[in-house]
Amino acid sequence: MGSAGTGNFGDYKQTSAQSGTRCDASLDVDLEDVATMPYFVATSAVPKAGTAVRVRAAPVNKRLVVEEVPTGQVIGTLPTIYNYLLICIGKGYQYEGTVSASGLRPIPSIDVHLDSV
Amino acid sequence: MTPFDSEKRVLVIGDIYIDTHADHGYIRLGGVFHAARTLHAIGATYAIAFLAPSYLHESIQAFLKQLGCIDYASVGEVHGAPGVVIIKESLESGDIGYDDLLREARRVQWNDSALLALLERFAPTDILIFPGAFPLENVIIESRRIRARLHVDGQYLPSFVDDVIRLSPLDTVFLSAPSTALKLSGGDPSQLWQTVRSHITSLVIKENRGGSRAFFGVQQAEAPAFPTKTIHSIGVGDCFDALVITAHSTEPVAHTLGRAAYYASSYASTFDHDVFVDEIAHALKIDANVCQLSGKRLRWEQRPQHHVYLAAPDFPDVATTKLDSLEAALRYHNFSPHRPIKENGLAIAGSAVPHQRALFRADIELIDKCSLLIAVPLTADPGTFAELGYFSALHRPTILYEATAPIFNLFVRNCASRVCSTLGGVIDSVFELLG
Repeated sequence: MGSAGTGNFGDYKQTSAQSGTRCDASLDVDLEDVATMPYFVATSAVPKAGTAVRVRAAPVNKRLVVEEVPTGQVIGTLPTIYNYLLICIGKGYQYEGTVSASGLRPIPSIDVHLDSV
Repeated sequence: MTPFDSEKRVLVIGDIYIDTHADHGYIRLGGVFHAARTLHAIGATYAIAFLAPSYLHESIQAFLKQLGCIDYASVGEVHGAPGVVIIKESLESGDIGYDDLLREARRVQWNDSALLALLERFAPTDILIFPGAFPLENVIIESRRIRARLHVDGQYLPSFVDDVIRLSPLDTVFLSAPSTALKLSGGDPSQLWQTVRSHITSLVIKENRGGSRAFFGVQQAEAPAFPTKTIHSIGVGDCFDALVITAHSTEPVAHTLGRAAYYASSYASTFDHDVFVDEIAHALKIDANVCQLSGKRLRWEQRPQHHVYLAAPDFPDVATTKLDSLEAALRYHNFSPHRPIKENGLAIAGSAVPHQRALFRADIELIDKCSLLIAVPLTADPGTFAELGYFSALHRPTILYEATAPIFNLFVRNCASRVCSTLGGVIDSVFELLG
């Protein structure tokens, strides 16, 4: 009869499988509030797939936001589940990527892919 | 400058258990260790007075030293039970269902002199008590002698209101929703505060993924929760308590609560203490931004107004265990779930057209009443998908719960605001979408 588990408390050991923290993970995000953001308000459009984007370092109106790199205009907010990125940004992480998909129907929506740099 | 009051010396009193996370195959020390990890992470000066079986003492002492604990003492020897808690579900989707092994056989040999000696040596300014099977009155009396501020986590008080009155005056009492005390107050935290306000300085209600609230005098403050990819919900409330009582008493209470929620979400995101400590160290540097960040706020007493339509093949010949669990979890968090077939009836093939149309209209009326729809395709039921599409076209939030198997249909997946494969994920999404 064998035993399962490590046989020890798992308190303070980082497992060998974990080589990074959640700050290192890439993100695929469906942005929120697209229709009320400056980019859509100014253009009545959404940026095309492939447009370069990044997470702005400081929150805007208490939310972490994504801006389009060429113009610096905010295109959408990150869902609050990504609020932990504030700590990651504070550690020096930056998040950059591209629009992976976007459209106006059924509601203006933008999907982005972000990598930590 | 740290947002925490470095003049405070915190003594934490309570049980220590082995938390056995059955769903992760992971064990670690729990009970007051959750507060200890938090106090270590924020660099607080603290001591621990614990109750535990003697076989754990060596491990307890070793880990407390690693956590920078200034002083500690065993104030209660536990006999008859191993001090092991089996946690079947680390995420609090619904009632977690801790199993404290042999709890009925548990006996405590209390050591008053050890507590007195620790109080004398450590001289705490603040004492945070997690009640258990030990003489709470003795602890309170001895603590008052040294004029420490008294903070009690009321979750495990046998009779909350009676016990708070009996133990008063107290500085802070914490309570988590759901709780019997809240239910007995008509589900209204304000009502509960009116009942106890002349006996305590502050009542802090932790409303789980919906945020928190503090009552003090005629004022109240509230703050959102910060949802994250939750790995576990164990000890997150204890972490929150420790963060609230160590904050500067001069700062806005809403900031204290918001920060505590943000750090507690970090605690819930990992079992790795080094990762937690690192995140807190960086969060401390950006405190102003953390305190003002937007999160999710869903007041406990307002949740019943959120009606949730459960679209599913709720048929007699379908196993509905997952649907039953979802309904129970939503009720646990105080929402109002609806199962249309149970409420309005089942349309049987071949039944008269007027009857079918009456059922259809009743279901539409129910849909109109709901702020969220959760589709649970236990089988490939066209009705479930039709309801998901209908609700989605109303531009109201929806969740696709892949309870039994992944759903690959393009329209189904993309109509849903969220797609989840676990009950925990569904509950997280409910708060995200409605908060």
